[in-house]
Amino acid sequence: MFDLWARVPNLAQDALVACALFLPLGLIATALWRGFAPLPLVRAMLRRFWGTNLVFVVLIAVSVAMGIALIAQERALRAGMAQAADKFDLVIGAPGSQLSLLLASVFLQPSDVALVSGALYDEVAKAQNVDIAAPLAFGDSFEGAPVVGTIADFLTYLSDDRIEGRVFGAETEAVIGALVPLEIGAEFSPAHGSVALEEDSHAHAGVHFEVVGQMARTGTPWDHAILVPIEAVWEVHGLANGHAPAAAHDDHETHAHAQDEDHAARAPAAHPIGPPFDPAYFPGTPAIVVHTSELWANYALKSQFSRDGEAMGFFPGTVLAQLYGVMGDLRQAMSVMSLVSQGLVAAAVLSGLFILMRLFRRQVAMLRALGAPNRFVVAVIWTYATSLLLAGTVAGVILGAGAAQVLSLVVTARTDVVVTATLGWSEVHLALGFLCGVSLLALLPAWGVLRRPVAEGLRA
Amino acid sequence: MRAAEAAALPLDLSINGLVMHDPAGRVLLDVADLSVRAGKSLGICGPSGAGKSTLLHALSGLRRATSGQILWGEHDVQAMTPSQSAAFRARYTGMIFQDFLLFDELSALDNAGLGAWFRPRGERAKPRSKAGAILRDLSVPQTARSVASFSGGERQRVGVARALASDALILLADEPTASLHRAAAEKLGDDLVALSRSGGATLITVSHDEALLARMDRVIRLENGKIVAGDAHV
Ligand SMILES: Nc1ncnc2c1ncn2[C@@H]1O[C@H](COP(=O)(O)OP(=O)(O)OP(=O)(O)O)[C@@H](O)[C@H]1O
Ligand SMILES: [Mg+2]
Repeated sequence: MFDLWARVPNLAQDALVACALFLPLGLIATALWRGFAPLPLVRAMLRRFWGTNLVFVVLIAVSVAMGIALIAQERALRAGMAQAADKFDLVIGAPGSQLSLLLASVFLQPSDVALVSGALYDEVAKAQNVDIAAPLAFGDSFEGAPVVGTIADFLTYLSDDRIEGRVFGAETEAVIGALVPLEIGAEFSPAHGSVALEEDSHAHAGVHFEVVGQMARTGTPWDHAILVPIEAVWEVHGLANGHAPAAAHDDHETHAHAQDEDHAARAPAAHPIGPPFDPAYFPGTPAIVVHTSELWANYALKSQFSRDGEAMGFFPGTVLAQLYGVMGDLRQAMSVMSLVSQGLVAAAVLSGLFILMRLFRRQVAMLRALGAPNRFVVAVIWTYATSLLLAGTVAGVILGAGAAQVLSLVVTARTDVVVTATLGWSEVHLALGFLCGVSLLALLPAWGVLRRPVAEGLRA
Repeated sequence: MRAAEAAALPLDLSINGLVMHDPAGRVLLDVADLSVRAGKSLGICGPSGAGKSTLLHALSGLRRATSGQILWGEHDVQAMTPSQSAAFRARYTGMIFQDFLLFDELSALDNAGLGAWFRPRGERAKPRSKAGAILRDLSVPQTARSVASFSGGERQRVGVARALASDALILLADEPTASLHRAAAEKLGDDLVALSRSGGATLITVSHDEALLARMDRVIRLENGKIVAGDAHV
């Protein structure tokens, strides 16, 4: 039985669950309406206390919307974070907090992390199956945009080669993320520190970069980053530039970047940039982002470069998953809370219905005095209650989708992680579950009405 | 007795040894013998609290007697199950209330043809067209607007049309003119008696309205649940 269910495609499963949740509603309606025309009276009841009815609908809508917005937003946030970490299969850094390193590398959040040595970088770069071993250097910024030093190959990889203009070919060139408010051809001087206005931040006098390319939107914090050759960051801070001084010009001739005509034509001060780096002149890097030619190689590399006191390799995706795991309890608490709030609203709606039934008591007694069968009376009351529920649920789904959208915009603006909340099946199921459950309960007030003697209702 | 045969028989009312108590055991109603031939009209008067409404409810099966029998032709309404009694009311009785008891949001036609909505689709047209015809006879404004804007007299005529729309053979009216001013009450009394006569319905009216009572074939007076005046047989 479970095997069979597992073989049904996902979409069909979700649709089936949705239908199953709708089924009781359809069955009740069919059973109650057969041979009757309750709708004109339902309309009359809806119009009778339209103000109260509206309050009911809004109450239901808000509670359904809250549940839906929470679920949709939470899922979107997870998807957005995973998407942001997508390009970071394996990160190697100095032993310490994986979370700090994850925040620093994937999310470009300034954090205090130790450096790994040039020797280790060299080992990583030369390891089997390593396509790209990108060192990162942080610390500078330009008008709030972090300036990150790295290598050209990483840019190509990060942007899937969607770069307008070209990658940097010289130490004075920069490539900007999609959302950096600069244009190709613009020149700028970065400031030290992550925020330009920080007290200890000061412009690096005389250091100029020219923007030569812009990456396409990646939906990650890197859209706000300015990427420069890592040599430039090192040099600005008075460090070695990763290459042996004497060999500088020879390297220049033979290095792949020499193909770049523009680069060849640059000022004599231009250094060779990019790997290979000379371990002796490598000032250290907080993180090496590794991309391998084979997926399985990541695991081998991770264990190869997880060494006490020297290096720590980790999968950002796994760390995020662990984080969700920890937050899972919170999520559960949130869904329980939203269920409880929906339950409370359902209870409020039900007791409201019982009160409304008192207001309709004489009308209902009159119907029964005229000989209306019990099933007709139940049909009218249940349909009335279910119309309120249906209207509230539909409004709640729309409101919830809108609220999730707004939340997404806020989260995107604050984290630079593109979060797009869309209505998913779980939200539909939640809404339908609520509708189904409460409309079943709505049979109670109808049944309660039938238990009252007609004669008593007539004299009320 | 099969339903078809029962339907064909005239619905003469006969009450035998009807006794009704309230939950505390006080006697609300004690009617040893009362009969009304089909098509005749009976007025019931008496002081407040005499049991007039209670008797009317018992006649339509809405209230249970402690003992005794209420027969409409062959139908023993006190012996019916609630759903049988509902079906009996839908089929044979029409009720008129002091304060009309209409759905204010609905039109006159919808109110008068209300009974059609709990009949199967195929049987809905007839009571509705009958309701329309009676509304015309009673010169109720034929408009789509809701009855909320109608005068008291117009509203009660809608109530009468509702009672008569399903070809009711038994009309039970509880103070039908009490909410109306003199002229409207006169007109309604005329219409009520005329329509029940022409339809061959038995009319039982509880009222304080001397003019309305005077139009009945016979009037009984109820006090403390007992018939104290009037002829018990018509
Ligand atoms: N369920 C009940 N429990 C106790 N007493 C009841 C119940 N129903 C009716 N009564 C009593 O029975 C008596 C008769 O009530 P009923 O409504 O029949 O009076 P009525 O003759 O219609 O009076 P009115 O002219 O004021 O309408 C009243 O004293 C009323 O209080
Ligand atoms: Mg009364």
